Amino acid sequence: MTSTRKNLVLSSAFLVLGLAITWETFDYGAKSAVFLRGLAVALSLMALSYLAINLLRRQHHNSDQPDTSSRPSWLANHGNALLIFGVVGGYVALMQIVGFLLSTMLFGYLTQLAIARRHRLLHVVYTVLMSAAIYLIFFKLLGIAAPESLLSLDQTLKFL
Amino acid sequence: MFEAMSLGLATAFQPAMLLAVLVGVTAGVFIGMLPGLTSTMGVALLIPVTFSFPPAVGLSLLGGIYLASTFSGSISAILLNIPGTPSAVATCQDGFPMTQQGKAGRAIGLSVYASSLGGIFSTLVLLFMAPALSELSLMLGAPEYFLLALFGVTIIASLSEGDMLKSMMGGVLGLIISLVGMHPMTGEMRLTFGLPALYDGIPLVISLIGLYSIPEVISMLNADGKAEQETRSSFTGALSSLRDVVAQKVNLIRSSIIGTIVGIVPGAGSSIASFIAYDSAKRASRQPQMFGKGSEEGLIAAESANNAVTGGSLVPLLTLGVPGNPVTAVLMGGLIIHGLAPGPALFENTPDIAYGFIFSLVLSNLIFIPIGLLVAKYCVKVILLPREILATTILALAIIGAFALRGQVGDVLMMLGIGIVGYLFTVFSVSRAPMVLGLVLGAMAESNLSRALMLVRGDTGELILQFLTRPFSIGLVLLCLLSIYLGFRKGKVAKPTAQ
Amino acid sequence: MKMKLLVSALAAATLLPTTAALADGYPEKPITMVVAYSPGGGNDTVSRLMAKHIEPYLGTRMVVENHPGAGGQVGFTRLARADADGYTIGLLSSPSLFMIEMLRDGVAYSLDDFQAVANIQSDPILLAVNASSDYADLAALTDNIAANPGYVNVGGDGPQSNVHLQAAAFESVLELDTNFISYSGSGPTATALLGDEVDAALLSTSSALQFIEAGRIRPLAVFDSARHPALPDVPTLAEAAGAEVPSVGTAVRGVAGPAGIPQERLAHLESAFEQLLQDDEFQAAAANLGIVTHYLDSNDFTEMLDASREATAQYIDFMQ
Repeated sequence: MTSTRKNLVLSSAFLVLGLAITWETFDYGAKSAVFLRGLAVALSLMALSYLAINLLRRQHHNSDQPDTSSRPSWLANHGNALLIFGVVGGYVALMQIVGFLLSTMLFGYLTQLAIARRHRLLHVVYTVLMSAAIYLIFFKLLGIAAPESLLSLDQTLKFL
Repeated sequence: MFEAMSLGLATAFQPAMLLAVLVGVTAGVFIGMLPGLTSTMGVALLIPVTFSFPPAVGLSLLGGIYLASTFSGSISAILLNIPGTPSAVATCQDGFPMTQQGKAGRAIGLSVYASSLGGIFSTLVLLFMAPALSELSLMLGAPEYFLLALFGVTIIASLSEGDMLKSMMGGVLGLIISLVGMHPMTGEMRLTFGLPALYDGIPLVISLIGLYSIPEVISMLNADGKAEQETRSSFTGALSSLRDVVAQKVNLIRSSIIGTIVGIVPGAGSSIASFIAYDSAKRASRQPQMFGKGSEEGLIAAESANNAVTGGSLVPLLTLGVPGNPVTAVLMGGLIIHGLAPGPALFENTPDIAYGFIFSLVLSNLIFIPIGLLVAKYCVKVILLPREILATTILALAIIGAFALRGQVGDVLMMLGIGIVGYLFTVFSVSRAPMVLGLVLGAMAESNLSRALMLVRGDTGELILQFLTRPFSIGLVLLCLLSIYLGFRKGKVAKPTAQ
Repeated sequence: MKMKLLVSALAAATLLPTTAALADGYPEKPITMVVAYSPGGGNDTVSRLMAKHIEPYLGTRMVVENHPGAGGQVGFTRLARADADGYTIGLLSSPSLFMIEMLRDGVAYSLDDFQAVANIQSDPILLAVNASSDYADLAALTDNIAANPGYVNVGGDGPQSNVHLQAAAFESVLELDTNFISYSGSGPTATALLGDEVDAALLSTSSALQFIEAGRIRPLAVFDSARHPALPDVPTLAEAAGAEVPSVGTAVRGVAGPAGIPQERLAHLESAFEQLLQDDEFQAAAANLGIVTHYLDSNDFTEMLDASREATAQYIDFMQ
């Protein structure tokens, strides 16, 4: 996308968000809502102005710059992002089912695999080291409570 | 007072104390460096370790952690563009560009020295001026805190690169997000959609972890350059930076003062201090266009300010027994557990502990120089690791760190959500620093405005009068106006070249 | 003969107070104490202090786990849902416990989900003014409030806190209308009072003590049925105002577990805490921190909780 088009999408998104929040604030009492409403209205107004500015820019530029950039697919651009979001979400879900250690090891190995696109022994070794280190530092040294999971595999290690 | 101080000085040099400082600083450097751990967490979780130590020793350990972690947050900020602690957000602005230009070593060197000098400045202020400053701080009330937050908001405009509207929208979004949760006066829940996890709002640390870790990992994957990695991992020029830091006396002193003062204000926090210092350095600079592209002045300003906050934040804690930020709140718990009540009694009844602690802070500020440099030297090599290892580690730390804050899995999901927002910001070329400022300032602005209004029983005219007649308020109002004016002027100048 | 001696010695040994362990080996692993608030706060401090001193009486370590959030709701819910095997207990804080239940929707616990073990601490609310203030006593303050309804600024931890509840009870019984200003804790409230931002303040006694001792604030009355041991010269509200204001706001902290803990294990826990509160070192450490311990066994604690809940229900609607 050209930057003007990007700005159009951005300002539309902000406009929608601003209006949605303004709408939501009418459910709250006057005192609780006033500051929030003011901000949401400000956001909407700014988004509107930005939208207008960019529409004018587009008009201005359209005449002299045909969009000749090749357009790589949307997936190519954002594939990595989706991968990361998916991996993080999956890790969180997994953690609640099989407990911290197992999910961390699976996450560690699979993420490395997905990024490097090939298997290396190093990945396995590092996964084990990293999981152990995190476990020791956060849950032993610092004494944080491990997350609960359906299959409480961690609890057996809890009081070692 | 001087007898007490010399008693404290003698205490500080006892072997046990020196060891505590060494251990505290080392632990602090590592804690601050990891994006999932913050100073608050580190201090809170290591308090039990200090149970068996004598109070002064335990406190020095905790103090060392506090100071060192405030500095070392900058290491990951500079090398990876991921702040290790909230105090390091402003450091990302110029620290990371410097790394991209192959000047990582120099950036870290500047950061270490600036932090140390800022920290020493504020500790000396604590030592000599604490009682006077605490009396002064009592003169600040809700109107002043609101105006300070407002002033912070006006800085958002100056942080913008490119279209100012974009940055301001990001800033307003940050302000809105910070208001999620209970209204500080009425108790009504806003934007929580019935989820208890959101009742306390979205913690700043969660937002920062998401906003920076996730997009940076993604960009790490999108980048190709082995060459880039090589450039970024060069560590030359660290030691020689001391000369250059000291050469910037005006910048250093101004930023340290800003940091110390903001530290004294409760609820303000080190990110606000470093942004204000950064902003004033930019205005005073002869090369303002370099800010955001590797300006050493900006880096020095942000770094000395954020460490100067540490000394300032201890003023209300030690003199009044009132903690001003999360870390000092936890430190207070630590003091209490050791049987010490913070407040004037601390200085009168146990001067050796009180002054011993303060002197140990000076030592900590000095010791983190060699330790920080040493650790950083090896950390720089981390950039050369295969990116799948680096990315996975950062993600794992981000996730566990987000969880560790409150032991809630929901927080990790919040972190992911904010991370997605952060990624979208980078895709649409919106800078994240304004949003961070919004996140930091929103709740502070709202709670103080509503409190100030309640104190005058809803009479807005009276409130405005207060803004114009209270001594500190007048100063802050003028600062705000000045800031807005300068922001507009910059916008007008930039318009012809903005695209 | 030797055998008989041995047997009687063994028999005698089984009668010794079992601070060590029960027949089934309980406790075999450390016991977790769930604290519904962040590290460094009042609840956390008390818990860690207990953890420091309780091991000999408990027979194992006590490990504090913080589960802060939603003003305590997260931690209390977690305790209510924990396994009732005697290995997980927690610190309950009243009236916060009830206020959360009554003020919010969808709260996943109720008083019945808990089994009281022992009460540890009672921290009543104190009404104070700046030491340089013109109000010499409570009467002066109440007269002024009565003459200027809705005008006098009284600060306190809020909103929806135990301090706010106490303020509501105060206003309701004495028929006064103050302008209650919320601060995020007794600490910031005290600072506001020192800075003359508010005319008077309601503070938790434990946080007010250091300022009173330093001579910076003047206590006018304490909301309790008897004078506070650390402040013998400060009248109770009943003495000073001539009317009984129930001390609904008193922060009561006690140990409890999820309902359904086996009787034997419960008894072991009870006795451990009973002995802890009589321990000299613990008492000394607590006194040093201004913590007034107030031991109640599980039955008395249960009664107190029920009474507190009723009182809370009575005044909760007066909080605005």
